Amino acid sequence: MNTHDPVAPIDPVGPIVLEGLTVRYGERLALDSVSLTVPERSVYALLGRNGAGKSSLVRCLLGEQKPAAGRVSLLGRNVWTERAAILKDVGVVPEEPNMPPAMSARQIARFCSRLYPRWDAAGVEARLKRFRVPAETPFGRLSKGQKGQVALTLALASAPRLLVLDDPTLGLDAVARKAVFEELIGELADRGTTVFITSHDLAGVERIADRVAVLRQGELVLDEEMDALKHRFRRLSFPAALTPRLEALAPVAVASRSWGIEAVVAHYDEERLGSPEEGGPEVSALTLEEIFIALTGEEAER
Amino acid sequence: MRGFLAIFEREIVERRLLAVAALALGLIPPMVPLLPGMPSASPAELRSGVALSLALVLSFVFALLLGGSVIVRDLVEHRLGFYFARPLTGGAIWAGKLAAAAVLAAGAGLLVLLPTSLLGGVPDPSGSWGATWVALSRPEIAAVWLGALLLIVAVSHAAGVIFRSRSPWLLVDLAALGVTAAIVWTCLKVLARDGAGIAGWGRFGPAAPQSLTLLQYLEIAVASAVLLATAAAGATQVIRGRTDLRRGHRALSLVLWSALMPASLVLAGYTRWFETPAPEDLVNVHGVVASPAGSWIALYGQAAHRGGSRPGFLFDVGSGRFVRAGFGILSLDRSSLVSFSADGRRAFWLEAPAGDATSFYQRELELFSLDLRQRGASPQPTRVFVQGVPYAFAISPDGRFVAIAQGRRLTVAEIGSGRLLASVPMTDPFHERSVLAFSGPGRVRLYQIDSYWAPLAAHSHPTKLSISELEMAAGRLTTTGKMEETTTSNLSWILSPSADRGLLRTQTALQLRDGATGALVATLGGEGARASFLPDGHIALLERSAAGSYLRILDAGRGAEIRRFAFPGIRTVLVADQPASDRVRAVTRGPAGAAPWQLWTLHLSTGRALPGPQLALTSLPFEGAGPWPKRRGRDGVVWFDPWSARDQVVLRAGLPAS
Repeated sequence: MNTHDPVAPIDPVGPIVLEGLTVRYGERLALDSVSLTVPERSVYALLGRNGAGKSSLVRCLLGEQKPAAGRVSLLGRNVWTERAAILKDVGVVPEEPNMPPAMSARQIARFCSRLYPRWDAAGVEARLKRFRVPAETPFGRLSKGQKGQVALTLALASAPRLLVLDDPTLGLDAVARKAVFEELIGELADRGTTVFITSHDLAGVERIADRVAVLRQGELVLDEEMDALKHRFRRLSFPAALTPRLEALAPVAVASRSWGIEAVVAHYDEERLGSPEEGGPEVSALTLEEIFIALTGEEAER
Repeated sequence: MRGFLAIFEREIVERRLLAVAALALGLIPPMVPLLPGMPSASPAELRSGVALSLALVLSFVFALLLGGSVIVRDLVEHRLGFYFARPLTGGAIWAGKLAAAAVLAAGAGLLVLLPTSLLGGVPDPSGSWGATWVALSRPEIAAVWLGALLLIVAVSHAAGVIFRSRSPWLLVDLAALGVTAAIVWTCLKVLARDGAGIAGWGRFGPAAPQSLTLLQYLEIAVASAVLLATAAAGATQVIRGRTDLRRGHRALSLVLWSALMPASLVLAGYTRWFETPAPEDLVNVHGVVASPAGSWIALYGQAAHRGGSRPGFLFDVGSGRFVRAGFGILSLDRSSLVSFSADGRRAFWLEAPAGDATSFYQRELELFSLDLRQRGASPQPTRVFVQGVPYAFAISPDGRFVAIAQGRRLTVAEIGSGRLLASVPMTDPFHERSVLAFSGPGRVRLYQIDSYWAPLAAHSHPTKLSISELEMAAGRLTTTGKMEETTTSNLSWILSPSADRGLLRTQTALQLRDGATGALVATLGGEGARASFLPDGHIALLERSAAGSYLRILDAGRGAEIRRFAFPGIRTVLVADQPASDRVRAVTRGPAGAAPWQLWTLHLSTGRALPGPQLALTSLPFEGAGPWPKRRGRDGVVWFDPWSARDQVVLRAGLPAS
């Protein structure tokens, strides 16, 4: 389907389907048979440390790179062979805003307006004003945050069915990051666009994502609904004497403290551990960032 | 199309300052005549020349720089992803950017011309270019210029990808480039050497002097192939490689060399075919020289689909056996540069050594020889060299020495060793036609005949023939005689085998002259009389009357008749050869054009003429200017020789006797 239809039935297959996606750079395996499906009108966050393979996956997703093996389907079509036609319905925010540096945001918008069937020129002006981005300043002279905001403005102006955001808040300050996510939330509330986002801003992602996937060294180690994920991950604090009971829960991270043991478990089961009143551990919920750190083993970059 | 136009327009707008710079440069040519020290005779011409040169250079420089950067720089700086994140095809990105580069380069050239054009009309490039290449019209020059710009843009784009990707494929590219360039260079060099660079030739000059030569067409084809291959490779680099420069480089190299290498092999195949014509390929026979004995002839002419190339052949009229020889290209408008030994067993000719691609007029030529008796023999170099095309050359009857008139010198060398035996200056070397002959041991005679000048052809004019003799031992060239005849056509001078007598034919008379002094010995006939020397020195004179033809055998000393043979009712009688001192073979043909040829054996001692079998002869068109017949008669060849002004015939060896 080429034309955007706000009331179109949900694609049962999903706007993004990756099957066995494999990318190699010489001997190095960047993506190892990754398969995932992004449901329609969902916000799908792909997380991973630097070098985990996110950028390679996004390049394949946008048809910029041909994978060594596997298939990429975007909006139900082969993205390698039908990229140009598909991208009429896809908005893209790249990791590094790569617009021509001599052109102003307004000139770039004018250029893009000739390429998309549903270009919202007024929306572009409104967003640039809202972001306080000077529309006539050459793109190369804008700040990093402003460049990201221009990229997001252009991505949203085509009224896309699918939005692909490759770390859109990378290098932005807190205010700019907040502006980006608020704009996204507004867009989602207005149109229900499907969003595929990679980001290191886990707090921001946690606010908007319906589903989370984690890449580790080219392998997809997690692909789950956000609510379910946060429900099954818990931090447990208890005296050392309870260690045998902890091992039964297969903890993903364990730390020794002066007062006992602190652990993160992936499959919390209150019935098996008992409540603190019953002599069980103290239990607390985890943020997405804490879950990510527990899964990848080290602190995420901010 | 919408994507292409969007990118094209964006590139033009982004680089609009280039147009301003070109316009500013265009203000220079109008100011050049005002500078001190500039010639003041023709300021308009000076302005035009500077403007044209500047426009040409600037457009080519812009094409080079823009072609090598509009895509590659975006790739290297990771900005091409901007386009690939939009609904734009790779083809639109490639075409839009490179088309803009070409238009910017062309536009810059035109803008440089603009101020000069406003001052004094549009500069006309056709005159100056026409003098050096071919006379091109303005639209043709514009087409060549635009084609060159496209070529530069496409090639510089490919080169930019190759050299900036830092991929190991660079080594493949360099190797393939070396091989392909070597093949193409060698082919073009060989084709130029063999005459592909000469315009198509008619019998007496270029057939169409304004047209491109075959070599120029091939050079255009090579440039077009490079343009198409680099364009296809560049497009593939963007379409397949997309934002990955190294992957794009690999795609580019695969397309580029899989197109250019086979194309270069096609050129190599064509060159091989070009180099190996057969007599059957001749579409225009320009010259035929008969061996004084035996059944070999030398012929050269224009071959089919080979441009102005004029391959030469040594050809056995009986067996059809032939050997290619490089004398054809040299025999452009002079007497033949091929000769036979008196016994007809060896042929000698001059040709350029292989690999010498300089103009054939300035080449160092080498004398080659071929043993005609030995089947499978190949031409042998003799180590006798001459600088440039000679006026004439001759082989001594025993085949040991060669005499060459070239430039201002007459030179004699020993063929076996290449040793120089004599070299003397000629007092008046500038004669279009010269004849050399060994007149005795250690003596060479030089006959120089005034050139035939076409404007005088309709009027009677004096034509001179001077005779000089070289005494090799003394190293002295002495004038021994002069002749002057008033004629409306070329003099024809036929020398006896021993060079002691000559037959001078003007438009009105056939005279027997002394070979050394040119003194008149006897007048043998009037208009229409034809004569030649037999191998034993006698004269065969053909006369026609209403009743038929007579063949008279004359003594060369005084021109006295020895024998007369009558052929009643027959108009054409041609002396073929003299298989024995007492016998002469001739062929005749009845009045009807399609009548069969008849062989005769004439016995000089008894006067008997014995008829032999009817013959199938290959008859070349008038003056040999026509195609070599596909269906050849195997008994011999007959043709008209313009230099001796008579029909000649060569019969195959072993014809059944009478």
